[in-house]
This record gives sequence, structure tokens and C-alpha cells, in this order.
Amino acid sequence: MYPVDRIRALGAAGLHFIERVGDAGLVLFGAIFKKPNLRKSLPLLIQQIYVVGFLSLPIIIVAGSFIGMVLALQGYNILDKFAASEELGPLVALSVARELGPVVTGLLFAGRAGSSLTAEIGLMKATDQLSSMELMAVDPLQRVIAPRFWAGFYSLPLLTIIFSMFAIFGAYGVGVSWIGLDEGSFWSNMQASVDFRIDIVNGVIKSIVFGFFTTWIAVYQGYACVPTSEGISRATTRTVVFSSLVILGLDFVLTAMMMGGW
Amino acid sequence: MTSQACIRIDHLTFCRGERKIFDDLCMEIPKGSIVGLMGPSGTGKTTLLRLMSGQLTPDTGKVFFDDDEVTALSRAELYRVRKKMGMLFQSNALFTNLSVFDNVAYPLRERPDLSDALIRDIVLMKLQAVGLRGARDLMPSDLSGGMARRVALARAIAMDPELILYDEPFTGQDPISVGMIIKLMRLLNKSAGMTSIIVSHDIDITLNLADYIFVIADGKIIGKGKPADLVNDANEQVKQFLKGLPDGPVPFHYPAKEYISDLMGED
Repeated sequence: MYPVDRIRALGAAGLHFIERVGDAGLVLFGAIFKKPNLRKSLPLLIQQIYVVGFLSLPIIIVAGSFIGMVLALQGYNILDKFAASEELGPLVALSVARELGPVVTGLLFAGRAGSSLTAEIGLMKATDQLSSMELMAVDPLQRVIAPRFWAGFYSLPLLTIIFSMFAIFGAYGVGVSWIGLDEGSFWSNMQASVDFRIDIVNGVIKSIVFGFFTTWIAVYQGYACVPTSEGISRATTRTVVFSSLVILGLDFVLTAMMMGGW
Repeated sequence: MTSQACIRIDHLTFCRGERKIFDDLCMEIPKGSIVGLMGPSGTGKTTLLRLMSGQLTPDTGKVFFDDDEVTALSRAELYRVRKKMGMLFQSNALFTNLSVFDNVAYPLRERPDLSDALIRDIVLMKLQAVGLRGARDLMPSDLSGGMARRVALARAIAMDPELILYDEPFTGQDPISVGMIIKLMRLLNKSAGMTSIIVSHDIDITLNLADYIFVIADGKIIGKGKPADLVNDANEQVKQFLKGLPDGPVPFHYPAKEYISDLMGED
């Protein structure tokens, strides 16, 4: 391949990427910037919150608990060397509220709910269910994409809060009940060190941003997939890979912005 | 456009990638008629149905439904027009998360002026017409292929559309079901004045049922007319297709290089 061909291929790939982003933007615009029919949309939204959010609870609770427990064990071993083991509560709470909560919940959400959204929408496309809606004068963007998008957007911040709570309870179990740290200093040090605005609110803001992008990627990949078994499989993989990369990349950007005191 | 035409296609050209599916196609479907679309596999009959319903946009040319130019309508206008259309998909396209009853009720529930009681009555009447009133509580995964097809048919006619597009309606049906579907199509055509367009490979049934037939091959209409006239058509392509002959001007094989040299691995 000549160098000029490589440059041309690079340009074509860039244009293709921009085209896809524009297409994804149009799908999102069609789904969320139209006046919803509340009588139809509300039951669908509640149903999707159940599927996307509530059914993700077991993995979020279990993962949160174990991550809190591991964090407490590792943290205690290091803090104990500096005779600062009573700082275990703040260490766990700050790690979870600022970083681990939003990021790990986002990654788990992309793997559990995002992939399922993509596969479901992709299969609806492959079996002409979306086309049949169009033929019945029902807009699939509003009836299929919009409730799933909003469900993901609302669910992820709530799941993040639940994840963080269970991580702290897990750390409490290891630190206080097992290792034997003082319960009062565990909670009071945590209360004294964690700032609601800087730590909790910023963590929730991160999860809102992650929820937006993860669900957008998931519904778009399903809607735009090649309607074959292989196409759906590739779209599902892309959802998990793109969502994970976007979460990690945006986490850095948001953290930098938040530390810069924006 | 003539006032008697339900669908009119004007010099339509449609390509998929490099491949030209339709080349300057012109066609008129009379109102209240049953029209058969026939032709070898892969000639684009399903694509033509999708062009008629505005699911696909042609590269050039126009498609009219009544007085509306389907190819020039906005999304909202297209949805208004589609309320007068029904389509039986080749894949049935039933909603897998809804029961048989809810599938048939789906388009009716989009009409805010219909009460639940009326919707229930309409659904039961449509299911009765296809012989599946007793299967109303089953899920699509519980149905056989033939039953799913009949549920899809009940859903397609639920709104009593002016135009109904049938994509392979007889596939997977036993002879009793085929007879019932034919009877139902004729009844809808006569009593409600519905226009029906049928894509089918079942030559005998389509010749018996349709008022008018188009035979499509190589992106063009190679034969058209009333069934009785078409049977006596002198065109070799039409003859070969209607008689199902393996040799003739319509190739059975997709274009490829010479067979023996291909087997020998020669370039």
C-alpha cells in the first residue's frame, strides 16, 4: 500500500467515525427531543427502569460489598504501618464516593445492562419488529429507544449510590467487625473527612455523565447494528468496549475539571 | 395520477451498493384490486413493497399512494399515510414480549378514540377470522410458524387499512389455512374495498386469486396482465417462470465464472 493510500484510508475512517457520531446524535435527538405521549411512555419507562436498573441490583450490591471489603483489607495493612488505621473510614468513603463508585458501577452497568439493551434492540431490528412499528405509524425512536435511554440515564446514578453504600458497609464489616477497629472513630472520621459537595455530589455528577453516554452508546449500537447474528454480536461487543473506554476517559477529564475547582 | 390508482410508481430506480435492483420501473396498482407481484428470488419484490410503504427511498423516481407522494413526505406525514396501510412481513415481525391478543391490539391502542372494550371486540373478531381466537393468551414463542403467520395477518388487518401488502402470506400454511387466507383476502377485497398486493412464489394460488399480476426480473417488469392473459404470454421469461422450467432466459445461477474452470481453480 502506498503512503497516499494509507492517508486516504485514514481520512475515510475519520469521515466514517464522524458520520457515525452524527447518526448517533440524530437517533438521540429523535428519541428525547420530541414531546412524549405520557400515557404510553410512562409505563414503558417504569418497565425499563425495572429491567435496566432493578435487575442490575444484585451484581451492583455484591460487587460493591466485595470491593469495600478488599479496600478495607488493603487499606488497613498500609495505614497500620503508619499507625493511622483509624483513617480507614475516610480512605474507603473517599475512594468509593469519588472514583470507584461511579467508575466501577458504570463498567458493570455497561456489561450487564448496556449489552442487554444493544442485543434486545438489535434483535428487534433483525426480526422486523422496528419496521413493523414504523408501518403501524409508531416511531420506534420514541417507543423503543427513548424509554430505554431514560431508564439507563436515571438508573445509573441510583445504582452508583447503592454501590457506594454497600462498599462502605463491606468495609465496616471487615474493618470493625473482623479486624476490630473502633466503630466510633470509623464513622466519625468518615463524617469529618467527607465533604458532601466536593465528594458526594461530584461522584453523582460523574455517574450522571456516565449514565448518559453508556446508555446512548448501547441504544445506538442496537439501533444501527447490521441485523444478523454476527452484526448483533459485534454491536454488543462494541457497546461494552466503547462504554468502558468512554467511562475511563471521561473519568479522567471530569476528575481534572473537578480538581481544578470548576 | 389517475384517480383509480391506489399506488403509482413513476420511473423508479433503486440500487443496493453497486447492484441496480430496479431500473426505471413504472407500475400502477388499481384501487380495490388484488395484485400479485411475482418473479425469481432476489429480484427485489420485498424491496418493492418497502419502497411502496416508504420504508426505503428510491435513488430516482416517485411513489404515490392515493394523492400523496410517499417519496416526498415528512416523517409525520408518512406516519399519517401509513395509518391507511397494513403489511404482513415475511418474518411475521410479531412483538415477542407481547401475547397474541396484545400483538393484534397494538395498532388499535395507538388510536386514542377507541375504548378498551371496543379494542377487545375488534381483536377477537380479527383473531376469529384467522381461526386463532382461542390462542389469544399464547406468546409468539408458543406458536407454530403457520400460526404466527396468521396472527401477523390478523394484526395487519386490525385497522382495516385501505392497502395491505402481503409478503409471502402462504408460506408454512397447511391447505386448510391457505384456503382460509384466500377466502379472507377475497372478503376484505370485496366487502371493504381493500387493495391487496401479494408477493408470492405460489403460482397456482396467485393466478387464481389475483385480478392482475406483475412479473418482475432483472429490475424490470417482464410481464403484466390479467392471470388468464399472462398464462398465454409469449414472453419466454414469463413462460419459463410460470411453468417453473430450469432452462431458459431467466438464469437459475447467480452470475459466476465458468463452472469447470472454477472447479479446476483456474483464474
